[in-house]
Amino acid sequence: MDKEFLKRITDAHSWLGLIISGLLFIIFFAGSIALFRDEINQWSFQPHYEVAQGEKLAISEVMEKAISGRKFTPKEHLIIITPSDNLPYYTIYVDVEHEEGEKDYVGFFMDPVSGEEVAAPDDYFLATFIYALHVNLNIPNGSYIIGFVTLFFFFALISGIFIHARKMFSNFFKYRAEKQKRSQLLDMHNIVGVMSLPFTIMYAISGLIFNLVIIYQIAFAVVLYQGDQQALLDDAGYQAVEPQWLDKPWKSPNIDQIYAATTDKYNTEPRMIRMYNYGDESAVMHMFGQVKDDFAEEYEVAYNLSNDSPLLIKDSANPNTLVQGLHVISRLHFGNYAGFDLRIIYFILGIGVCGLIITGNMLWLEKRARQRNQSEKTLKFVTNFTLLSTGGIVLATSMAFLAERLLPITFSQREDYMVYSFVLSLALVAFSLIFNHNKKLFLSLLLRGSALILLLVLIVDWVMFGSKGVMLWQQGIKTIIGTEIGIMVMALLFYYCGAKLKNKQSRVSVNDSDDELLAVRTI
Amino acid sequence: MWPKSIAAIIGGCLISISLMLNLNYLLPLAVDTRLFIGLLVSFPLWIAAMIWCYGSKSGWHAWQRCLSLLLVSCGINAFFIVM
Repeated sequence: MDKEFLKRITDAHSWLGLIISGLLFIIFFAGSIALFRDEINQWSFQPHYEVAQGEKLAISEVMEKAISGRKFTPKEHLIIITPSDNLPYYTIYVDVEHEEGEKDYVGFFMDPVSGEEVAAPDDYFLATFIYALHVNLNIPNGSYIIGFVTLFFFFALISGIFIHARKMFSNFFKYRAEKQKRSQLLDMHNIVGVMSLPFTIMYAISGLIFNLVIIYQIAFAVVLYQGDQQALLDDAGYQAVEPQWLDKPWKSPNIDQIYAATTDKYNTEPRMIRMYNYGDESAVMHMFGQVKDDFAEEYEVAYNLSNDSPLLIKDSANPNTLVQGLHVISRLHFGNYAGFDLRIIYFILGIGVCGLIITGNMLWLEKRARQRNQSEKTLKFVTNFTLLSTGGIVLATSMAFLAERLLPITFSQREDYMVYSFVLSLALVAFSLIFNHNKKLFLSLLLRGSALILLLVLIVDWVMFGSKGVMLWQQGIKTIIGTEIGIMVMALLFYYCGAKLKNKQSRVSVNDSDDELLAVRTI
Repeated sequence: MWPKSIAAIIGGCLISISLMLNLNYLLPLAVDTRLFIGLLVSFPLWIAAMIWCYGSKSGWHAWQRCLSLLLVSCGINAFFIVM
C-alpha cells in the first residue's frame, strides 16, 4: 500500500479518534451498563415494594382501572406494557386532558393482582438515564450527535484496519510488556482493536442505522417517491393506525378474547398494547410482541373492536424484509437474543472498547509530548479532557448509583436530584483538574474514589434492604442480589486498576529519584 | 484536516446516496429487500468515500475525487429517473 496514503490515513485516524474520544467513551461506558438496564431498574424500585401474589386481573379490567379517576382523553391513547421477568407490574401510560406546557400523559406501575397504582416509572430514573446517555446524551437532538460520533468511529475502525493490516495476524499475540511505555500502549490498542473488531463493526453499523437513517429516508422519499413520505413508510412496513372517532359508545368488545387468541397464536403475551378511541365504536386494539423462542421474529397486530376484524397483521406469514432486518439488527445491538451470559460477553467487549479509547488518547499524548514544537496548553487540554471524559464519567455514574439508593422515595422530583448528583460530580472533577499535576495519579484517584462510592452503595443497600433482598431471592427474584454482585465486581475492578496505576507511578518516581542520585554521584 | 473532513462528510454522504439510488434501480428484488440492502450498504459506502477523501493530498484534491465520482453516479441517477 502507498506509504503516503497510509500516513494520511494514520493522521486522520488519530485526529478524528481524539476528537470523538470523550463522547465515544460515554457511549460505550453507558451502553455497556445499559445492557443491564432492566436489572438495574428492578434493583432501584423493587426493594421498596411488595411483589403481588395471586391471580392476575384480566386485561380489560386493567384498562378500566387504569383510566378510572383520571381525566383520560379517549381520542388519544392508552398504552399498557405487560409485566416481564424484571418488572412484575403493568407499566401504564394514560393520555390525559392538560393545559399548555403540562405533561399530556400520566405514567404509573400497576399491581397486576390488585390493580392498585404502585409507583411512577419516572421516580426510578437511573437505568433510563444511563440508557439515554448512551442513546442521545440526555440532550435534545443528541441522537444526531451520537450518529456522527458513530460515523467517525466507523471510519476509525476501517482506517485502523488499513493501518494495521500487514501485521494483523502476525502481531495478534504480540504484547511487549517489558518494552517502552509507547510499545505497551500500542500493543494494547491493537490487540483490543483486532479482537473486538466484529463486535465494533456491528455496533458501528447498527448505531448508524438507528441514528442517521433519516438522511437516506429523506433522499429516498424525495428521489424515489417524489416526496410521498407515506408511500415510502408503507413500503418500509410502517403502517399508521388512525381510526376515525364515531362518537357512539362501544358494545361490550371482546378485548380479553382477542388478547387470549393473540397470546395463543404467537405462544407469548403481547409486550405492549395500545388502545385507540377507547370506549367508542371505532376503537382499535394494537398489540406488539415477540414470537417465543425465535431469534428476532416480532409480531404486530391491530383489531377493530366493533367486529373483531383484523386491521393489520405483521408476522412471519406477512413478512417485510426491512422490518425483519431491523429487528435482527436491534437484537444484535442490544445482545438480548440469548441468555444473561451473552450480555456479560457484550459488557466485557464494551469495557474493552473503553480501554481502546483511553490507550488511543494516551498514544496521541505520548507522541506529541516528544515533539518539541508541541504546545504545552494543547497537551494539558487533551490530558484533562481525557481524564474528565473517562475517570470523571466513571465517578459521576457511581455517584448516580449512590443517589438512586439514598434518595427517599417520598421526595418529589427524585429523578432530578439523581441527575444533579451526576452533573455535580462531573463538574467537581472538572474543577479539581485545575490542581492536577500528574495524570496517572489523578486517574488512579478517580478510579479508587469510584470504587469506594460503589462499596458505599453496597453497604447502604444492605443496611436499608438486606433482609428484603434475601426475601426477594427466596421468592425467585434474584436481580437485587445479582446487581449487588455486579456492583461489587465493578468496585473491585476500579480499585485494582486505580491501585495498579498508583503503584506504577510510585515506581516511576523511585526510578527518577535513583537516576537523579546517580547523576549527582557521577558529578 | 478540516477541508478534507468537510469533503469526507458532505461529499461522502452525497456519493453514498447517489450510489445507493443506483443500486435501488438496478437490483431485481422486492422493494422492501432493496430498501434493507440499501440501508446496510449506504454507511459502508460513506466510509469508503471518507477513506478516499482522507487519503487525498489536500481538501481540494478530496473534492476533486468526490466530484468526479459524483458526476458519473448522478449521470446514471438522471438516466434512471428520466427512463
